Amino acid sequence: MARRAYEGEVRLPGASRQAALHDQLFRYAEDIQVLLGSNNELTRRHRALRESGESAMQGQAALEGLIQSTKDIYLLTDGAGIILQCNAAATTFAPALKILGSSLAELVAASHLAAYARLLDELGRGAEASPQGLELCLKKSALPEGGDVRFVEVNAIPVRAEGDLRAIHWLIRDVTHIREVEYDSKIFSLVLGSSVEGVLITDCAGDILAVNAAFTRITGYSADEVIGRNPRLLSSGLHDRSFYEKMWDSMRAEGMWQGQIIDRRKNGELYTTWITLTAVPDSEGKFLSYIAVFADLTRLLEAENLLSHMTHHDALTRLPNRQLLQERLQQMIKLARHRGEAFALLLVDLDRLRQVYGSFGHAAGDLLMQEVAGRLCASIGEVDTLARFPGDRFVILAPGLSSDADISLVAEKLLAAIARPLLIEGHSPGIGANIGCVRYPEHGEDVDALLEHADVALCQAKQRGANTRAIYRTDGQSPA
Amino acid sequence: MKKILIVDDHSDIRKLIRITIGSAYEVLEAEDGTTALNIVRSQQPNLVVLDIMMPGDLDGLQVLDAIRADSALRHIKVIIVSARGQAQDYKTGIERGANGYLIKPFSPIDLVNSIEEFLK
Repeated sequence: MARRAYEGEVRLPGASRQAALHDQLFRYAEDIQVLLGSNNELTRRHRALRESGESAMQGQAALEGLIQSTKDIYLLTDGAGIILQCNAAATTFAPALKILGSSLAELVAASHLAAYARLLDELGRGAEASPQGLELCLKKSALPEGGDVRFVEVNAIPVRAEGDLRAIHWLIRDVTHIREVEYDSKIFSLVLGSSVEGVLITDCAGDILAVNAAFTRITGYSADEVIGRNPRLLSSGLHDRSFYEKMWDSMRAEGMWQGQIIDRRKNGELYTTWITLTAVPDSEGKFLSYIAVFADLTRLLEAENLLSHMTHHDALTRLPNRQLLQERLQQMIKLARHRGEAFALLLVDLDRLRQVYGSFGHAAGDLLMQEVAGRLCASIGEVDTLARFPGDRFVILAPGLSSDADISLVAEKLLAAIARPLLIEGHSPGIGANIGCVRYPEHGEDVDALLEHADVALCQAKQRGANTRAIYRTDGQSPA
Repeated sequence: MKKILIVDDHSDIRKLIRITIGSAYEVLEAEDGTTALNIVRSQQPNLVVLDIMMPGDLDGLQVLDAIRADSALRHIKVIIVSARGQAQDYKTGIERGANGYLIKPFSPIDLVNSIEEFLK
């Protein structure tokens, strides 16, 4: 502890001066000790710094290890793009021996050379770094397989000394996979959007993830209304549990199912679809999602029905045509033979129709045919069949009609219906008809015989004059 | 280069202070009050390290009064270095216009710190 000189302390002048000096020197010694102490502290800090320097060195080694082991490509080039260093990932583009010393430009695909040159130019002029998210296309031409182009995201970090570009660190990330997925999904959504088939995608739990425009067109449900819901909402209730169980069995076993399902539209209408269900597995085979592609068969079936209707019916009168009549006649013969029943066939031939077409035109003729068809239709029984034959002829199949009297009665009724006055576009063309009648099995046992004999009876009726009918006679006598 | 005037009648102490201050400043010395005031007027030092108890016509406090009374000198920083260590001495020194007050034996580190602070 320093000695202090206190006021009032008695000292001889010389001794006092000496004592003050000693005190001060002593005080100095104290401070020097403090300074030495702090020097020790500095030494300790210096040592700590040096040690942390060592750990920084180790950090650099770790960084280099990181650069070598990362999947991203690391290159060090000079300012002109000549490759000085590369990491292991870079060798996916070319062997290190080929890469080192060559120009990075040799790896850049022709389509992106201009962008690469521009980047080098900008870095040369003092740009801080490459633009955010800059993408280039690199080619693997140096590898034997060649021709493979990879999309890469490029990060270029310039190194400058005294303002001059000395080197560039390149961090290059292969984003090909991402681009491909984006491309695929773009194509996918294009296809989905334009498809005429409805598409529905669910997650593995069966909740709807996405639907396309055709889905909405077919079902009436918008995407907003169904996303997150179960496709069960489309169920018509017409299929039983075992139907769906079979469907799921097939899904589990084969990952797909195809079949016809009747579903219900939003407006309650039923529709038939041909549906293909596909399970989408992940890389481990676990189902990620399900895709249903379905075509609305209703229209198709309607078209098919229409086509069938058209081939079997007369376009003008909508009555069964000759072909359908022959089919029905065939069936009726079978049935009647089996039951031992009789039936009648009446062949109606209109008179003076050709004159109507000639005088009043086709439209008037067509109207007349439709009118007659309507009158005939109204005059026959419920189980009877009325068909139109080529030309001006109609045929009526009347099951259960067997006696000459009944046949004659029906024929007279038909003639009366045709003869009723009619007005077509202000004209009143008087038309008439003749009817030839045959009876199964008496007048023929097959289609051809019956039709042929009906024709004979018709001729006999015509010989009798307008608006007459005749029943075929097998005995050569004049017809009834 | 900034100038510092050391005023102390004890030459060894002046030498110690000179060594303590080092070569960053131009150092002047005076062994009594009258000489000190002459040097202050003629050399206009930036700072004066001033002992109080000195033989001769002027003691340290009188030198301080003279500096503070002269508008041309008033800006000069003054650190008193004195063996008088009572609280009243310290109070008197500061009231008369000293910027700092160190009690002998003073810590050289405190002196350096004070000088650096006042000449910042």
